[in-house]
Formats: sequence, structure tokens, C-alpha cells
Amino acid sequence: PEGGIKVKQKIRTPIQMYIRYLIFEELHKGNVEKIVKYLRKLNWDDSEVSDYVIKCLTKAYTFRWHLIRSLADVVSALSSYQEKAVTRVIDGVFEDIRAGLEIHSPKLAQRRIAMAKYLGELYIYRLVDSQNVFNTLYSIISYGVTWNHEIFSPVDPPESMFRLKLACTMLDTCGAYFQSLSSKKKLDCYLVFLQNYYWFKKSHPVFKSTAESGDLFPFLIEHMYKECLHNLRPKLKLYKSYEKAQEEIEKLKQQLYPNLGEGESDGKLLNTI
Amino acid sequence: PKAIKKVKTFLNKVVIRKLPPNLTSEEFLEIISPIPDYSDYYFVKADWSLGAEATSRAYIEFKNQEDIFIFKDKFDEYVFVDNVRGTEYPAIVEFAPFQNLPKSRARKDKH
Repeated sequence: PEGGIKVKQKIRTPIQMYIRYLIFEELHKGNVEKIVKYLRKLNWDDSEVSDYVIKCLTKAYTFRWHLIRSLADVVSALSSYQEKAVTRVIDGVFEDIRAGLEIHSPKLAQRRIAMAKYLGELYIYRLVDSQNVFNTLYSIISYGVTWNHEIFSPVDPPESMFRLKLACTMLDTCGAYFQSLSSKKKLDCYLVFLQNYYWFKKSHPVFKSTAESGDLFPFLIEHMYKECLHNLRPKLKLYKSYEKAQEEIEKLKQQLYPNLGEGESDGKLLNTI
Repeated sequence: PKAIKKVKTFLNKVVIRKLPPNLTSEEFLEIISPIPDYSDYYFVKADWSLGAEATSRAYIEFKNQEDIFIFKDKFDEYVFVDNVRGTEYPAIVEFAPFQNLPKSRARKDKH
């Protein structure tokens, strides 16, 4: 639209332009060490400088997809020297993912996917632990989810497959790195809940298929989901219905919390907070 | 001397979310003062790329566990008012999802 809209020109200081140049333009897979070297030379005691670097290192969504790993690599290398700043970057990543769950706007779709990928990469570089990752994975399939097809959730509308996409993105990124016995178990457990969420979505009346309509559930999502689970657990037999998934959740509850009273909501059960 | 990594015996890092976007760190500190003993505090200005949903937030690492619960009682859902927009922002107080970097990697070299 012409007229009316004033675009505010951002005025950047030379040091901000230099930081942007290093992080947004120069960074590629082959020069992570060099970038880290230059970043370390900045005056981190100047909060205007450190705040700006932190901001740039947090915004994984401004990078091309394959560079997100290199960004995590930079942050990892930097963590030995600038522990506080790196902690703030990671705080920012968690906040962004959470805000995305609360806001649910198509405008943020690309950003949310990138940040989920980023968190997965940060786990691969051992900056966050598996519990951090699982807490996020659980929040993705539980935050604002009504577990009732008659109650509409504005942050997870029935037709929206976005949460599945997010969860699969994270699992595709770092699922194979859950190697310790305890994190393997955590993943097995999560996959039960993920399948339950999948079936909650798929069994919604909007996807009710008839002979003429065929299967209305988005094919690409179905494929992504099956592929993701297959890559992680090739032998896993996927549940074939919502009822079956819920049965398995019940079993899991009995197994893990035999003394737990009723009335706990599924997703919350394993969240720490 | 090498910094000795403090070992956390309880979750001590709290995040205060959904603060008004135009709030400043100074204003925030004034509202919540006196703050119980803390080891770290920082404030993050609103990310305006979120448009109308932009909010600011703050992190506090408390020294004593009891203070966290008292703080939460007082400020969880406490309504902060944005002095530019005049809008009310009920705050959310919770444990920060990320508490600290894994211990093994602390090998800080001071320049």
C-alpha cells in the first residue's frame, strides 16, 4: 500500500554493523573458529556491545537453514569464554519457543521452526541437557492443547499441523543423539505421548473421511511424522488409533506413577514445572 | 585463580515474563524492591519484531529458596502497567526453563 506507512530506518552504530557483518554475513561452516576469535576480542564489558551480540546470536531464524548448526557451533565455542552471555542466548531461545506457542501466528511459522532446530543443535553441542529438550518437546504437544475436540484452542487450532511439525523438526535434529540409557528411555516415553497427540489431531471431526473424500488428513504431515518416528525407532509399531494411544498412555502412567491419583492432565504429567 | 563452579542445590533462577514492552530495568527494579538476596539479575527489553505481542522479561537468581516462593506469591499475576500504551500486563513468574550451562564445560580463561 502506498503512502501512510512510515518505515523507521534503523540507525546502527559502527560496532553493531561490525557485529552483524561477522555473524550474519561472514559466518559459514568453515570459519567458525575465526568468527569466535573475532567475537572474543569485542569489549564484552560494554553492555551495549554484549547485548547486541547476544541478540544476534539468538536469532537463528535470520540464518539459512544449514547455517543454524554453525551458529550453535559458534555459541558452543564461545561458552568457555563468555559463559554469562551464552546463558543469555539460550534463555532467549527458550523464550522465543515459548512465545511462539503462546502467540501462534502464521507469520512466526518459519521463525518457530528455525528456533526448534536451533535448540536441537544446542543440545548436540551439549549446551543444554536432554531434560531441557524434553521439557520443550512436551510443551509443544501440551501447551494450550484442549484434549477435547469440542473445545477450540486458539493456539492449536484443529487444522493446524504446526505443533507436529515443530516436534518432528526437533526430533529430526537431535533425536538420534539421545544415546544414554536414561535419555533413550525418555525418548521412548515421549514417542508414546507424541503418537497420542498425533491421533488426537488426526481423529478430529474436520478430518473425518468418507468414501468420496478419501483420507483428509494432510499427506505431507503424515509422511513427515512417520518418517521421523521410523528414523528414530525403525522397529516401532505405530499405534493405529486414538483409543490405542490413550490405552498406552494409561499403561505408562500406571508404570511410572502407580500411586498417582486421577485427574492429572496427560501433557503436564512429565513436565517439571 | 580458577573460578569454582557453584553447584546448584535447588532451582534458583526465576524468569518474570510478559512485562510491559516499554518498561525499563530501573522501573522494574523499583517496583519489585526490596529484592531478596540474589546472585544475578538481568532484564531483556521487548522484541519489537513480535509487534503487539512484544513484552519484556527479567531473570533473577535467588540465593535462598524460600525467597523464590515469597516472590512468586507476590508477583505472579501482578499487574504491571505499560506507561506508553497504558495497557495492563499481568506478569508470569516461573522457574527459568534454562538454569545454567552443564558443569563439565566451565573452563573459563580470563583473557
